[in-house]
Amino acid sequence: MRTKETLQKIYEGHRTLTAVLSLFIALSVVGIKALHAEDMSPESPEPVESKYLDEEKERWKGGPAFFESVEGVERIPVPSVADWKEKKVVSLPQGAVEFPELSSDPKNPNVDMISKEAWNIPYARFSYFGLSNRDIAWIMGQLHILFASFILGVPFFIIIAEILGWRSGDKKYERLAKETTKIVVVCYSLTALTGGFFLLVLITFYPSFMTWLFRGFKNLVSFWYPVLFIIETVFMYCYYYMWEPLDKMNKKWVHIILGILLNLSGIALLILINAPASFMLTPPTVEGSVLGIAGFGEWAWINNFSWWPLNLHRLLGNFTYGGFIVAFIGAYMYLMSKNDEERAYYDWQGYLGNTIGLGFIFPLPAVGYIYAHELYQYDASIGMYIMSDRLSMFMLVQAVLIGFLFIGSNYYIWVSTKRIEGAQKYLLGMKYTYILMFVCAAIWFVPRHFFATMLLEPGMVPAAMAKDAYLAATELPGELAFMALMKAKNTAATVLIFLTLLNFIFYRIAVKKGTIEYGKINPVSQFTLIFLAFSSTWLMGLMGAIRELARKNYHVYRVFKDMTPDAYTPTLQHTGMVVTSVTLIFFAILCFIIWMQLKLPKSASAETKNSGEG
Amino acid sequence: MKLQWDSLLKHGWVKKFIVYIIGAMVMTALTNKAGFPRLFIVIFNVYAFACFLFYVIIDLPAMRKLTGLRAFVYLIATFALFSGLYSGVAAFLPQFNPEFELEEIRKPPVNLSALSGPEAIKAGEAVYNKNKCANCHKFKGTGTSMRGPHFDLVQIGLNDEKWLKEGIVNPRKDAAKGFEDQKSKTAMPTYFGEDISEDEMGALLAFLKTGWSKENMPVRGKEDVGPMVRWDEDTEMIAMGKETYEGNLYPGLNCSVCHGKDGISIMQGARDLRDPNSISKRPGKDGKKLKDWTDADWFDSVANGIPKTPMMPWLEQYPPRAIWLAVVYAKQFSKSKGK
Repeated sequence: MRTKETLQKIYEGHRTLTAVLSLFIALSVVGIKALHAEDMSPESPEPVESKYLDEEKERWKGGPAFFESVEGVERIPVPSVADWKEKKVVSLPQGAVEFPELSSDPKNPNVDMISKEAWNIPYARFSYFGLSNRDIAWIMGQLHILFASFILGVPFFIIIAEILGWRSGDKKYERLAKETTKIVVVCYSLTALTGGFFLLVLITFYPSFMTWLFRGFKNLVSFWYPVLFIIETVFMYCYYYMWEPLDKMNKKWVHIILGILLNLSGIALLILINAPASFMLTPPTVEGSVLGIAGFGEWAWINNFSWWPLNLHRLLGNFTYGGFIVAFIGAYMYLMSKNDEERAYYDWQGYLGNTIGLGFIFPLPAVGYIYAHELYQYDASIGMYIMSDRLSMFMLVQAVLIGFLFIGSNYYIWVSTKRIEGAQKYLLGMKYTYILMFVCAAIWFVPRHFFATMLLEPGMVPAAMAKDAYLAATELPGELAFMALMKAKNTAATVLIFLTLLNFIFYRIAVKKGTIEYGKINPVSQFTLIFLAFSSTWLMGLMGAIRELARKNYHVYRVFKDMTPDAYTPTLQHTGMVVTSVTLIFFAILCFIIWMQLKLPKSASAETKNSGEG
Repeated sequence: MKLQWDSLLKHGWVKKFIVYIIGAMVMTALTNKAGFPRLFIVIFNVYAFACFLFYVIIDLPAMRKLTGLRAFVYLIATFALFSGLYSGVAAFLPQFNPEFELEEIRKPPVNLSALSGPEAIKAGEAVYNKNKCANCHKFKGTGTSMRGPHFDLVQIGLNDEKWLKEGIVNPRKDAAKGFEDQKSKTAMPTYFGEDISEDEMGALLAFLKTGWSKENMPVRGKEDVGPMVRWDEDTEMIAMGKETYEGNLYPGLNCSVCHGKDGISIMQGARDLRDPNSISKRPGKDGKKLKDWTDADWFDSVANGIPKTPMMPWLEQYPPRAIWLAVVYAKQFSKSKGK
């Protein structure tokens, strides 16, 4: 309480705030410089005695034999390859079991998990609407994941709302939980249907690979996943259909337990399916080698390097997404409502959804950073491919989207605060933070260079320009390169989060101290909520594409090569079109579901009421 | 005129626009002075303009209530606006041509036995590019990253093939000088031994072996951590140079036999390496004092020898690495008495 008052005092005196913010900017700049300076510190001198001497002696003791292959001034010999015939012997990890029904092929221990006949199924292009096989699989996969994320993120929101309603006695929460569940039930079916579609597409387009993958994840795919899916479905329908009866029997707690079980089974399902998803990018290795991966055992495949980082990232991401989607439902219904009472309710729903979405977005950059860090640890070249090579421009779009998400969220806070009576004093302080947010968003965006690959490729330099001149025009000079490094990005992200949190805290203080009248908000706020839901969905699509494309031309990185004509990394332009199309399809379906489940019954009941009165 | 200004300034956006213009000018001047390329300055200005728009938008009067079809049209327009914006940003940013990647994917594997020396080196360059070595190493003028050793500066070709191959196949065993930290140590993938075929490896090594210079002293260290240390200023390399100079490292290569262990010549005609004013007798370099010798002069005199003197062309028998190591120590005698 005391802290809040202190913060409030600071906020009220905008001069003090200016000073605080200036100090913050100065500290940030000093911080970045200090971090940079750390890199520039001179190294300590090495001792004269060193292991290198012995190694050098050992290395050259071959005498004349060594010199035979040494490059002379003019001649350039072809090195002998005789010494490199021996291959590393890979020992299986403890507890790993070979697939007993498979014979091993010493030439390629990874591909012999299926019969040669199955292996040699020729590639065939199935073209619909001019799309490639990969595009079709991509669209179906992403659509499925959007619905799957919905039915994971939103039930989490629902159960929180139901518990809050139960404890506080506020009927609004109960209504929110009930209405949103109506949407979830339909989305649940769509998740299964799009998932089935996706699976059929994968089996048709990539038969060899899917057989290989499913054989590796045999217990997960043939038992655990379908069983858990059935369990979740049972909980889902119990939760939905037993709501009224359990309420009437005064057994709310049973219903809440059902909701918790629904959420737990959903989370377990996500964790399970993340195993093949993460395995494809970071398959298990023994001392860096993937040789003999078929014999590592299913648990080694599941418990791969990026499984838990991905679980954590997706889980938090889904909760954020769930919050923004609930806010979207509120905004959609607000716009479609015909009376003030309904508007007031959906305005409140939008506020609550945004609060949850924002709450989970704060740790998201940190969790994303951990995930990326783990990928670097597994194989730095994956990280480089994402951050500095063919996917680097994709990350610039991510920077734009994140900037938009934070600034959009703050705009919603601004508009929300504006309608609170007695909250004007807080607005003045908020205003000062926005400029800094734009600075941070710009820093997050700054790339090392403005071309789409690590090194220039033919055709990138305009014909009328020399390569050096082009580089000078598109690349940060060495002394400013730190602006493109994670140190600068992390500082910008931290400041963005800090400022948003600050604005949010003062918004909460304004809500508590002032008088808030739901429904009287500027309608532009509802479009902001729609924008936030659209942007977070688009961002999910983009980041998912980046994760998948980081495997380069492999189905399973370094293990199973993609031999189809779609093995290349698509352009950002193409990716943008696919992600936009899927996002639009998703929202079109969602709008229809909301209309069908919420709006239509309300209109029908209003009609009945009117005709009854008439 | 004054009245018009007053009425204009009553509009909040005009004041904001003036502040924006001033701010944008200051930012442009500062970023320009800091050395940002023009393209980056344009991007900063785009953000500044977006910031100005944001400040205008937050003070706009409230939107009027929307219902029914009108609300629906606005909803569709919102989707259209942001679909266009995000697709537009994705299309506007620099693109690559996937054909180049496809070309790499389609390339047939290297068959070393069918290639002669220069062709093997060329094939090795292709292997180098295919495996994206330039993502971390600068070599032959390509690459911008400082993640791995700068092959031109460290003169990677001075090393023997076994050592080079070990560095590729088992990169975490022994980190290069300046790259001992955990991050740098784990940056190099460990799978090249599996991914690169024997023939490709041969070609790659042939290419790497071309990376040495007879003009400049090799260096060690990491560019962005501190100044890279020349071998003749690097205590470890000086120690190794001493062993070379004294004949302990390369059998048959022993400078001290003629020039003495302390640089004092012990053979008729051998140069006194302590004397910085000693005159060169090499063809074309007549009269050049020892203290004015460049790295190239030093290398040349050891590698190619001095005609009509016992100083033989050592490069005919020993690798360039041995020549540089001998030079490193030979230079030390006259250093303190130099210029």
